[in-house]
Amino acid sequence: MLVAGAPAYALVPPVSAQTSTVARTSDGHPNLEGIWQAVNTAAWDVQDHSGKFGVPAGQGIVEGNEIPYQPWALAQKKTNYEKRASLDPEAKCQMPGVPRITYLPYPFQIFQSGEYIAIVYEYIHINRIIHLDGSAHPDPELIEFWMGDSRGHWEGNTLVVDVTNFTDKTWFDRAGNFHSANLHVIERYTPTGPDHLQYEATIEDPKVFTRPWKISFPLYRRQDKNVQLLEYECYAYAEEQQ
Amino acid sequence: MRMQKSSSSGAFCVALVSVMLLAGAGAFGQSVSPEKSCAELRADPDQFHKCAIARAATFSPRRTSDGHPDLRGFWGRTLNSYDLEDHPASFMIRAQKSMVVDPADGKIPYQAWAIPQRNKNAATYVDPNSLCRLSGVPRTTGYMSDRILLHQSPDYVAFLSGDHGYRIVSMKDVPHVGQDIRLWNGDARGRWDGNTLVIDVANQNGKTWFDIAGNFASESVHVTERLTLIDANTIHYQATIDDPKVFTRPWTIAAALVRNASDDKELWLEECYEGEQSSKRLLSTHGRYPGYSIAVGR
Amino acid sequence: MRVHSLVLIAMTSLVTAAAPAIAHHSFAAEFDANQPVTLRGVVTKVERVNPHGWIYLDVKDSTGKIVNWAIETAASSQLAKRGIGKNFPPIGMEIIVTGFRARDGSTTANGATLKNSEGKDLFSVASGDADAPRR
Repeated sequence: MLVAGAPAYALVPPVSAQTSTVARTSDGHPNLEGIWQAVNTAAWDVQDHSGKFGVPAGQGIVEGNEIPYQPWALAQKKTNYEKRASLDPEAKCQMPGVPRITYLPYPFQIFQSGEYIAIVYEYIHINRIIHLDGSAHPDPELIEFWMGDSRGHWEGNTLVVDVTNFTDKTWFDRAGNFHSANLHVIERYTPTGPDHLQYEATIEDPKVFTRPWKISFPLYRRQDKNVQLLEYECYAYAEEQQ
Repeated sequence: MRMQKSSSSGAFCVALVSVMLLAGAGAFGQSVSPEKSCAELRADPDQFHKCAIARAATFSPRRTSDGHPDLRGFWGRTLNSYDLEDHPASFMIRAQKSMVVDPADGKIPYQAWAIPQRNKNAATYVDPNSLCRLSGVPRTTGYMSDRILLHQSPDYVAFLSGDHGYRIVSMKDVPHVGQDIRLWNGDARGRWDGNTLVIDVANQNGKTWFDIAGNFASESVHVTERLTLIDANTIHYQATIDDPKVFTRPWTIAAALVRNASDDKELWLEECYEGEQSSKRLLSTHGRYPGYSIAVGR
Repeated sequence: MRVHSLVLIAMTSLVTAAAPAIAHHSFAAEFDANQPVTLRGVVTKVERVNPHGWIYLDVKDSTGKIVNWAIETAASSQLAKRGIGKNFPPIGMEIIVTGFRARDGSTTANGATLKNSEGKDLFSVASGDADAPRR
C-alpha cells in the first residue's frame, strides 16, 4: 500500500533468493551437470607467484596464501621445487590427484544421479565417482588410489565430498607442494548462479602440515557453442616424442 | 547363477544348464526357451545374435522417466579381445568363436592387401592397448571391459570404466567435431531407434586395434553401434564397421553385455598412469604401432 | 597386531579359480609360458600399482649370489578385491613364488601363486587369464 509522500523504491531481493536461478534435479538438489573449467594459474603454483618464462603470474588460491608446512616438509617442498621438472609426477603424465585435477587447464564434465555424481576429466580420461549413498570409504590398509576415494553428501546447496585413501605420490601443483598418504581432502561445490560454482577444498595432513589449510576459486561453465570434452592422452604424446 | 567350483551343487548347476540348452534347441538351430536368457548363447556370437534379434521383438524393457529403455547400471563383457575372428585356445587365452556375424562366414572382409598387413601388425608391433592407450570403438565398449557403469540422461549416455577411461555420447542433435580433431575413442552421437540406442562414431585416429591379433582399420573408419536390452540383464551389442580404405564392405560384430551380478556399486580407478613398467619390456621386442597412415603408408 | 591380521586376511582369501583379468596386455608378448619359474626369496619391496603391481624378492641363485627378482602381480585394485592388504607381503618375509619368466631374459616374472616358506598357499597374485571376461 503506497503511503502518500513515501519514496517508491523496490526492495533488493536477499542474496539467497538469487540461487533460485540455479537449476535443480527432481530430488531438489542443485543440478551441477555440465562442462566446467577453472580459470587460474594454480596448476603452476597454488600460491601467489610472479611470472616466469612459460609461467603466467598468478594470484594464489590458498586462503591466507600460506601453506602451513612442518619444518621438515618445508625443506622437502623446496627440494621438490628445485627438481620439479623431473620430480613432478604430472610432468611424467602420471595422475594428478585431488584437488589438482580440478584446476588443471582442461575441462571436465559432471553427470549427476541420485546415487552418485560422476566427474569425468578431459585430462587423461580420469573419472571420479562420488558416491552419495552413505557408503563408507574402503579400508585404507586395503587400497589407496592416486585420485583418492570420494564419498559425498548434500549440505543445502553445497555438494560436500570427502576424499581419503590417497597415495603419497601426487603433488598439489608444479611448484612442488606435496602431501603424505594421510591426506584428507574435503571438497565443497556450491552454485553461485547458473554458470558458476564456488569450489573450496580443505586440506588436512597431520604428517606434513601443522594445521588444515584451504583453497578456493570459482569454476566457470564453458559457454562455447557445442562445447564438449575431447582427449588429452598425455602418456601417449610423451611416449611418441621419445 | 553362481557356480560353486568344488561342490556337488556346482555339478548339478552345469548339468541343469546343459539340459535346458538341449531342451531349447529348435528349428533355427540352437535357441533358448523363452524363460531363459539369450546370454546363455554368449559363447557363440552368431547364435546369440539371432536369439537376441528374436527376443528384442517381444521384450518390453523398463523405461526411464523420459520414456526410453533404461540401460543404466553396471555391465560387463562376455567375450575377450584376443581376436575378433575364430581362434583356438592358447596359453592363458580362451578359445572363442568369431564375433563377426556379417558376413556369415565370420571373417573380416579385408581387401586383399590388408590381410598380410594385419598379420604384420601382430608380428611387428605391440597392441596399443598394452601401451596404456585407449582402445577405440567398438573394442572399448563391446568386449574389453569387465565393468562399465552406464550413465543415461536425456542429453547424454556415458560409459564409465575404471580401467578404460570413459566415453561420452551426446544425444543432442549436433554435428560431429571437425575432421581435424582425432580421438582414440572417437566422437559419438546417439539417438533412439525404437528400443535401440544407436551410436554414430566418427573421428577415430587410426592408432588403435580391434583386438590383440592386430585387426585394424584406418582413421576414416565409421562405426555404428546398436545397444538393445533383450532382457533385464542382457544387452545385445552390435557394431557395424565401415571403412572403404581397408574392407570390401561394411561388416558387423555382435556380443552380449551382461549386467554385473552383485550389487557392488564401486568403480575403482585402475588406470595405467602410476608409473607402469610393462611398456619398456614390451617395446624391447616389438615396436610401437604408428597408426594406420604410417604403418600402411596411405 | 596389524601385520598378523593382514596375513590372516590373505590366508582366508585363497583364490582357486583363475581370477578375472584387467585385460591390459597379452601375456605371451611379455612372458614365456615355456619358462616356468619357482623362486624362494625374501621380500624387499611391494609396489601396489595399476595395471600391474610388483613384489621384489632377493633370491639366492645357484652360486649363492643374491639376485633381486621383480614379480609382476595383478592390479592393485584386483588384489584389494581378493582381500590382500596393501602392505602384504611384509618386507623381510620369506616366500615362494611360482610364475613365468619374462621373454627379455631379465630377472622378471609374471607371478602366479605365492606360498609361505613352508610351501603353504598364501594367495594368487595372478592377473588371471590374459583377457578373459569375468562371466
